[in-house]
Amino acid sequence: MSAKKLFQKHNYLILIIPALLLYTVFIAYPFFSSLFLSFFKWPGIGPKIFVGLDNYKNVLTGYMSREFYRALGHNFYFFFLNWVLSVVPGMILAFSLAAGLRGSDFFKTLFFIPNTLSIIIVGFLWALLLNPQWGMINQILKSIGLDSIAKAWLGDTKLALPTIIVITGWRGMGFYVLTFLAAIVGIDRSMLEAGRIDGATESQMLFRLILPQMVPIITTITILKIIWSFNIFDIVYAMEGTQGGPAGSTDVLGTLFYRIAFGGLGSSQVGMGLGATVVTLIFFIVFPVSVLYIYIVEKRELKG
Amino acid sequence: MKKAMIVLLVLFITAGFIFAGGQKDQAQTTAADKPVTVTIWGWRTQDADVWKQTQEALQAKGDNIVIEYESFVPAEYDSKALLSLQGGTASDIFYTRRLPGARTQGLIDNGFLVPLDNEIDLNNIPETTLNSIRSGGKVWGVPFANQVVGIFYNKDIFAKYGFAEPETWAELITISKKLKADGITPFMIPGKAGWALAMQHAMVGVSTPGSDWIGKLAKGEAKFTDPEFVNVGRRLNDLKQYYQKDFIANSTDEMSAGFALEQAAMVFYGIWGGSNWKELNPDFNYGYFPVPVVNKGDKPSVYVYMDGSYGLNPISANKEAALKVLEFTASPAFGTIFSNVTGEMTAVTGADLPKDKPVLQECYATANSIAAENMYWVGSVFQNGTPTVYSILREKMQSMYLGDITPEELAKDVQDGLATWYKPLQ
Amino acid sequence: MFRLNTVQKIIIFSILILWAIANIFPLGVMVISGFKSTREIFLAPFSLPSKWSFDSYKEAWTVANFSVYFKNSIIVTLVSITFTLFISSMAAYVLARFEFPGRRAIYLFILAGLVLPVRLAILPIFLLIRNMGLNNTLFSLFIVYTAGGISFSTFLLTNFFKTIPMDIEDAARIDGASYFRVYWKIHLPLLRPALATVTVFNFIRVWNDFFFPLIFINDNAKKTIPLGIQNFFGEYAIKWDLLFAGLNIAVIPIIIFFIILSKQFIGGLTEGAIK
Repeated sequence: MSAKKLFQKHNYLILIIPALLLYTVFIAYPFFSSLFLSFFKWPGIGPKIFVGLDNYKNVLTGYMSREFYRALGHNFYFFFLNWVLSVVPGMILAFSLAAGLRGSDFFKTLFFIPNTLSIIIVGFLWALLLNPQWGMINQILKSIGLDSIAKAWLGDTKLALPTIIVITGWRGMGFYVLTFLAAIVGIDRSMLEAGRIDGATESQMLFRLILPQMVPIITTITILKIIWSFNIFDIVYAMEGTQGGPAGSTDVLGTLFYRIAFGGLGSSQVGMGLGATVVTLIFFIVFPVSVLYIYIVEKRELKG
Repeated sequence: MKKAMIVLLVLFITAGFIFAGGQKDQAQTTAADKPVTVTIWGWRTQDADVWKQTQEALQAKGDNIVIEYESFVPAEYDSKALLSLQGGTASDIFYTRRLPGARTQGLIDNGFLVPLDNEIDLNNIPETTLNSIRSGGKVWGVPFANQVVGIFYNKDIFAKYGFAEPETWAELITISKKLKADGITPFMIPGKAGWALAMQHAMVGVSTPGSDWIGKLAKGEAKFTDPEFVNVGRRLNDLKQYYQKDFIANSTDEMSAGFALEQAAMVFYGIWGGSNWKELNPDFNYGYFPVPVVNKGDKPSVYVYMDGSYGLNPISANKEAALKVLEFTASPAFGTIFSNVTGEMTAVTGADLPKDKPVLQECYATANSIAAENMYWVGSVFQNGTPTVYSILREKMQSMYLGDITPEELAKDVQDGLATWYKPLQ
Repeated sequence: MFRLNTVQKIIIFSILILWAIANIFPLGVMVISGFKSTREIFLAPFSLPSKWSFDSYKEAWTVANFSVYFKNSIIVTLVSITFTLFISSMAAYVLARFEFPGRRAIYLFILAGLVLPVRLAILPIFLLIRNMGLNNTLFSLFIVYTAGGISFSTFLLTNFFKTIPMDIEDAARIDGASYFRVYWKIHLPLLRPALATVTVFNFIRVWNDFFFPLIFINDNAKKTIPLGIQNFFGEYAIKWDLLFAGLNIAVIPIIIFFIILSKQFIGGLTEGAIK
């Protein structure tokens, strides 16, 4: 490589150094060293005892495996339902806003506001609304004669998790709507004009021309969602506590980790090593999937 | 406009850096007799005034001490304390939980607490209470509160129906039946809070089968799968018909609100609920009775546990002053301050409890007379490993109430879980 | 952008109205509850407060020490999101625009940060901060918040960068501009919508975070708003009226910030429409 090229390389790489430095020192190094804890037994204080693969055996086949697989299943469920509830309404709303009807600006702002609320507020607010005895949701249902549907939303083992997913979708909708909208208005108009000239109907244009162009953004969103779905913690914690109740029906890997590593209130045992095991497993599930997606995306870009 | 924003931003950042440096030095007076600042960390916001008054009392005695108290949310307090202790940045005095308990034991084993036996006078604190913070024969903190749990009831409703405080479980059922028939919800139960359900099981268990049987259990002479234990779950499972509809979805806050706002007659809870209930309904007239026994003639006992204590940081720079504070907290004068400010039961004997809190006085007396010696929830020997009776009940009580498992299966889960580490039961 | 007949317009408008109601309803409950007493919040969720009382708001402001915490929250948030934005966009530029050995590895390395929960690594991070002598300072928050935003911001911005055509950049480079100038003068302006999105996201993340201030801050004078709110979640207290008032107060700056910035990226969105 000639000296000139080397100098050029140097030149722009400087721009990435601040981010890399800060990230490596304060995020990457602490994390990766913490993943090593999975080979130890450590209550958060005192000596670390090397236990080899015992923690992994415990989580994958031992006492904790029941809770682990249950939580894992919940995370998968979370991802799928949450994806559907974000992408489908998100697209519909985005297209509705793209129609440019009067008041669209107001709607855009309004739709984003739930996203600005902290998860604690959202969890708190919805727990209040969903209170089976006095909460507004059930009161409304009862007043229109739908008593039978007025259930104990957060107390029913079959309903609690879907309810939490719906609430998560409610909160996040603004982000997806605006992101999709940005993609929609970025579409090349001349292509649409050409389509119209060719005599295509609006709906044909929608399905043949526009939706395919949305695939990249949906892919990006999907990767983010995979990562986020497996890290869900705050909303479940806010609405059902660290136990992931009722009867563990909303327990996710995040709450499982928290419970193991930090215990609940009081003096239950703290197992940071075991907790690190759960996190490492999450990492090895989620990360390869994300890597795969990115490779697919980049391949497609090279082609397109 | 853009320029203005940039200037503003730069100003903010500069200001940020100026403030970021932090004021590490405490503001000291330059008087010859400099006050010493003792820092205290805890998880109870309601204690702020306790420490203010303590400071006043100490200064009146001539000790030139200033107390700075910071509270951190209970769910996160332990993380904060643990990290800070390891990092050497913790306060002079900090709250600890009880023993047996892995967390507190961990602090002791790793040298983050100072034994107080020879440092201060602990004669005003009962032995049973001290046992909750004793390990290796030494006392590692000054207990500050005992909690009493049991059944709290709406006195006005009871008076209206002419009910007396039930002494047997059958009487409790009779009362519940009558209330329900009349359209009044007998019990308000926080089904969403697994920990409260575990507490409910525990408080029923110390009355029947009772402290002696639990003692046998602890020695391995009985098992959790014995009918005595199974029946505790069964009794509660049969009681659920008297709970509010959809109780499984209610939190403890909602339970407190429902109870104080007179939507239900009774709750299974602890004395600490009192301040909430009065806050919600200043005219609320409530009373207390221990969980009734099954067999007439048996003596009920009551679940009493030490809530927390004040521990001393070994690397505190102000040990002398901190010890003076701790000495005071072990005295009846402090007990009086504590109970009057928080409305809770001080762990110190000889304190003057607030006259306007008859239920508190009643519980105080109860705690000192019929406290259970053997228990299986917090503060018991069954907390020394993983899983604990507490952690199992926390989840499984919900399953039982939802009908997913039977009381027998509940008991078996507890037995199997404890058998993995509790030697006498293996 | 679309040609729609009246029926279609009505349907679309109804959809928007429906979702608007789904938003206004809970938000309305939230705001109004701040004016009610705890008793009313529980028993009369539907009705308007019997007495529109600002007492809860006043008390929340003082109990939670909002004036001090507000200042700290604003400083911490603005400083850290500025830095995050700055260094992440530079990193995204490099990652999106150039091919060099190890590029993909670095990109994935940064992406990994999104996958892991911060609590696991808190002890090493805490010790690092303590060893730098930054415990109990706002500076510690600047650092961890800036570092914490890098993964998401870089990921999103890299994706957005790729949508900018190369020709503009090539033209500038031919004119002799340095990489930094190209980044500063050309890319940043074009990225406005993306930058706005990332900014708002980071603002929300930092403003609402309570974990880092909890661990790193001991002095009352340096606490941020989320810690102040936690005073209402006391061990035995259920002051819901204060809680709602406090939560509402804490939410206002974000909403204002968003409304200001929304002109930026909503504006950016419709700019594209004229293309």
